[in-house]
Amino acid sequence: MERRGFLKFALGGVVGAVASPMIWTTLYDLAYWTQNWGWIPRLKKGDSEYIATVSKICPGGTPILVRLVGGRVIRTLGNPANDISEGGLTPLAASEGQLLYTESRIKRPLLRAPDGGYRVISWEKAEGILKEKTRAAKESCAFISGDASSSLNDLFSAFLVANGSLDYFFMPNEQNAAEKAWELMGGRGRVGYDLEKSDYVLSIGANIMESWGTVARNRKIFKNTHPTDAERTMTLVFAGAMQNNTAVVSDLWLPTLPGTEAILGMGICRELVSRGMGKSLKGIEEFTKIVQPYTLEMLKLECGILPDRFHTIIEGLLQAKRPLVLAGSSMGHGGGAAPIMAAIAANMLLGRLGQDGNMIDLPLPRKCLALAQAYRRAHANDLVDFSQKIAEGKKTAPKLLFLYEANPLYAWPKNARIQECLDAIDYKISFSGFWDETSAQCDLVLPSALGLERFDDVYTPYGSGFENWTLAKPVAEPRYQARPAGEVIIALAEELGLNLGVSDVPSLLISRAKDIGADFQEYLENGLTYRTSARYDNDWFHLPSGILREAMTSKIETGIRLLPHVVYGIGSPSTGIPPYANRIIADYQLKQNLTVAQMNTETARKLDVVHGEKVKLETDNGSIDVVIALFEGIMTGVVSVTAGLGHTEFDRYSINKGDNILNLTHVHIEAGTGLPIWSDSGVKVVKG
Amino acid sequence: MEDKNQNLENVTKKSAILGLGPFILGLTIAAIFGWHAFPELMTKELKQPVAFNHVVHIEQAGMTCEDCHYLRQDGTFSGVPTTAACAECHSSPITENQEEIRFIAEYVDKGVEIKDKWLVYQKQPDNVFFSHAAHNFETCTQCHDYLYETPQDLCNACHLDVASTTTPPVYKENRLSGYSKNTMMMPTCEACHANPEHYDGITRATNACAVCHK
Repeated sequence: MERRGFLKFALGGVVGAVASPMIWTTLYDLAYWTQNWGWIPRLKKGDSEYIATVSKICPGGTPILVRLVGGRVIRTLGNPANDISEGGLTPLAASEGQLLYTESRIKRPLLRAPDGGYRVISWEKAEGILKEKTRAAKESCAFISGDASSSLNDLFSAFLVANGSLDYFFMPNEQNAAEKAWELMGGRGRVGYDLEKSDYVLSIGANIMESWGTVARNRKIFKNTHPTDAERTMTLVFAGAMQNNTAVVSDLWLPTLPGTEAILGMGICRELVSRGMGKSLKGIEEFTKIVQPYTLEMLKLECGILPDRFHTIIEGLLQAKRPLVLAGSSMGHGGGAAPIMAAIAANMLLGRLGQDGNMIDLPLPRKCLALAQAYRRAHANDLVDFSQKIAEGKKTAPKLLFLYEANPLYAWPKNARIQECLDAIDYKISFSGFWDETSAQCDLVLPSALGLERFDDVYTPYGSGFENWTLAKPVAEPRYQARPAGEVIIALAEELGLNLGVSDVPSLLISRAKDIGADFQEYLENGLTYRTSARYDNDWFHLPSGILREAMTSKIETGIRLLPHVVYGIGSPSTGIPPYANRIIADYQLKQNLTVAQMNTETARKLDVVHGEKVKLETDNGSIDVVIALFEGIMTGVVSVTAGLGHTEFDRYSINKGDNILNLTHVHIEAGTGLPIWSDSGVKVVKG
Repeated sequence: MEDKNQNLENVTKKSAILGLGPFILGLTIAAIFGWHAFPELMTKELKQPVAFNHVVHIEQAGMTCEDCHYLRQDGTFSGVPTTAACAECHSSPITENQEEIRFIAEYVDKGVEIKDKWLVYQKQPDNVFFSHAAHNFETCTQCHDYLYETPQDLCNACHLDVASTTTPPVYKENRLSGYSKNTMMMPTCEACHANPEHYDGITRATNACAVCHK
């Protein structure tokens, strides 16, 4: 074939090929072929399985269903079969499955080297160090627990007592302040909130739909009492400085400046007393004198309340059959006992304390182990006091500190002096699931199995209305080299020759179940929540006098008030910001990498700042960079900042995202109760 | 002079026809190769691990499609039954069929999962998320009732009609991609997803990437 003929043949071939599906189908096949490349992630397929258990990272102990595919945890969902939540879920509980695989998980035991870096060691070596350090420290050791609702606290506490120490502490929580208030007013057990049976709930400062107490249960109760196709059966009133998630759904919002919750509570008590309520109560004469200063004028001045709404609420409380007044801080902790004491007193004046739909005196948890500290003793220990005294040289620092899922460096204000306290302790050991700020300063960091990888429980979390117990069971093998901290401590005790009276964690939980009357095997299988109707009678309660009078003398901030806003979606001090939560952080919480400070137009005008302006918020304790966002659902003179930002450790999903609001707040001591308070800070807005 | 011109014209026509010959030859060979030989060359034929007889199970055992292929409560779809599901009837031979006996010996008795071995004719890559729950008979027949009289008609819009087969169709695997020849390609998805009539209303299926690619 001559050259011209060959070219024609080739041209014909090209046209024929183009006219056939050969090229086009090959292109599609190539696209599918690319999906076989080795670096492309593969789905691990298998049968779906749902296991009922409970969230260990959500402080409210939300019941969950864990979905597994082919034995691998895929996600967590609400459990419709559990009558505590009826399928409700909090953002923290929703992230629990994802957190199993997050980058910040501690994968292997880590030992700090002399140069400050960490090197991986074997568990055998880590156990040897644990034994050596514990034996050397003897009674000079302390323990900080980040999980207030677990029966494992009895195990850790018993271990500490066996070593000769009583220095057992909890991370900041509202539970300690509430139970102090409860005890001071004659409560024999723990305070419970019977929200289910109440027909009028006044929440003073407590963000019950977002971060206070048993959030999933609270939301369920709201849903059931506020049907869309029928009249509501409960009225929810929220008193707070901002239209947060509770305020926006409540039936009435009473704007109240932050830090004045106790004053409002006392004002309510005064109004009730003036209407003849509580005449037969013991100590009513003295109490009447205490509440006298809290007039409507004072409430207007100090709390910024609207008198009409205040009177509407008083009428609502008086007309309701089963009213309930409860109090808390917007921070979820650090609010002191005074607001809660005032709320208890209001319930007493209404004649409802201890009745259905009100505050209930729930049984005091009994010890699972003989050696463990009694519940009230353990919860009375004050870490801020301990830390400050060590920092000031007034107390000898322990030689050894254990931290269990606790991140005090992040979760406490600077002047709690946790850093100085840690610096003064010879050796620090952290059992943690994640690489948090405190673990990064410890000498030995041990990978702790997470709640979905271990046996654990949730025993009557704060905010419950009844004694309840939910077993947490392992739904997956611990990832990497993580081990359940409880089992490590039991093994350590055996090595040291200490008899804790328990052979493994399930045995401990069996004894808890037995103690409250639950069938362990039954609840292991069904994953539901066991509840009892046990409660103490309310004969022992008395109106507060001297201590409350003293507590009310605590300093109230003036000027611009700082309102911390806690949302579970942004994680917790011990988890950091869960990766998926990055998608739900709104631009009124975090703008690019700057924390957002929300205020209304009038406040902005007074401060001469505009929407989008970058400024500093300053207190005596420190400063943070923020960007201003205008929001009219907030009181004049109040700046709201979302808590949970500003991590310096964990992973890329947490680091470099805003500033930690606790760098602004400062601890002071509540007069009378001696409790640390830090949720009522004043703040300066500095331009430039 | 006229004859000379006529001859010249004939020669020109003849050479033009002859000149197209190589072109036509190339086009024909390429077209035949592209339409017939190439697809055969690119395809490898495989047999299913068990010669499952749909007809027997439907007509003699009285089973329905939904006995094995059903939506679970959580919205996932049971496409291929497990060995355990088959063993509910076939824990021991109930006929003298050699395939049944072999299935029990090789899968049921040894605990081998048939679901892992079965070749899925419409298997999609992991980057494609197809929800059977979203593509259901009740939704599609709101408008396309003239196309799908029964749920099976809707299934057959994408799947091979295996309900009337006594042996499974041959599985044709593409040698390049490793996927089945019957795997649905994107233009088929877009026949509905790129049609603005599906963007809202009962289907609310747009053609946005994340609708199918997670």
